[in-house]
Amino acid sequence: MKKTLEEHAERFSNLAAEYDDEQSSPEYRACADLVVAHADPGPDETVLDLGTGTGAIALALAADAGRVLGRDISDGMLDEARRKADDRNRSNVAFGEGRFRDPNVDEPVDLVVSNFAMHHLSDAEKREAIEAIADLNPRRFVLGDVTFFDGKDVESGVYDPEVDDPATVGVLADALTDAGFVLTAVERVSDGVGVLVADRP
Amino acid sequence: MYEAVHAHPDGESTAARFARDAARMGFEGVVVRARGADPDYEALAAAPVDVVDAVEVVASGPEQASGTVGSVRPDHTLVCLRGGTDALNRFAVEHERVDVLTRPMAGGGGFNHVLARSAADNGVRVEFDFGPVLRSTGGPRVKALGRLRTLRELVAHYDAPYVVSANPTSHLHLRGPRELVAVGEEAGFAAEWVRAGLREWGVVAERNRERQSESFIGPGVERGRYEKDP
Repeated sequence: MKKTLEEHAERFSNLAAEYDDEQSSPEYRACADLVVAHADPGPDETVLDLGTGTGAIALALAADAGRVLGRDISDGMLDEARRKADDRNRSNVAFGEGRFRDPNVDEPVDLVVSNFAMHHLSDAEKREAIEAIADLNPRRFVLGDVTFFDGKDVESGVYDPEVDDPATVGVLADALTDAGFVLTAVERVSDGVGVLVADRP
Repeated sequence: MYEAVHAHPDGESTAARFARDAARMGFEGVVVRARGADPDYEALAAAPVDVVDAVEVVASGPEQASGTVGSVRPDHTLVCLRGGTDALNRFAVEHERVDVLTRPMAGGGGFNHVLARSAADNGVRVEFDFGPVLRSTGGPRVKALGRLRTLRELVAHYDAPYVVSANPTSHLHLRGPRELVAVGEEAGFAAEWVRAGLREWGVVAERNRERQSESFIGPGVERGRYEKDP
């Protein structure tokens, strides 16, 4: 990561209150929609949302899943997520502290999702994170993120080079297949945003 | 290149959604192989790709198939008949009113030299369904790959016409041309062969539209220079 964990957490806690209003580009929305659609949880399934932020994906999946666990490093973001869950009367979602390489879950998870979060990790850290996710043994991992389809492109407006470190799709695909997943779908939302669907074979 | 889709309520996504995602993936058009679906084709004329008015007839046997094909033929650009039994497969390849025989091997139905030859003679396209290769696993997938290989040998030997499709029932099942070619190559198909199969949907659609238009009188005959409108 380009800053320390604490610096990232603090930056997001400061952004939490306005985050949902600011984060609404068409690419972001399309990406979030595809992550939710590919996740497709069943009523008996437990979903883990890593880098849950204000809970956009977690709350969307809570309608269909049995249970949703949202994990993030930012207290501010988690507070905002809990507030939203209360507003919508969603009792099957739990938000707590957790990180990609240490998700802090002690129950089996069927699905892991993550949207617009893993790009804060370096490529080596992303690989470790994907291995940690594979160790949880979900039947599917849906990863939506800023990711380059045609080689690193610094011009993209969706990320900030000071704090972000997106990977190419190739790096993510290699890490996922090395961790034992099978890539069953790759959605090119735009040149710099994509969704990868990784299934347990 | 086209993809042939199952739109709501036959599938989970609307024709408009399919059209939008297909455009993003680089397709020129989608064929809506409707059973219960009844899309508003006039509204879809504004879609980012060509949307073809088609029907996929699903019948229990040749008698029912014959009746249904006859009744839908005049109203739609493309008529597909779903195979899967020996009797239905034979009916399809023997009737040139049928444009495409879909899923010939799915239900345990067979395909053999006689059928391949009939398909070639009558211009009935045989569908190579990549759906099971993309969406199933284990034994069923291995079987599906084997059937595709058999079909390929027969179709190639008699130079029968064919189409390729992932048979998507949801926009999430759509795969772009490059991905279908890549999967096809892994399954033993040549890249250009797969692309030709994706283009063929558009070829049939264009031919049928021309035939059903007012300027077509019969093969080899054209409205033209000497006719004046009254």
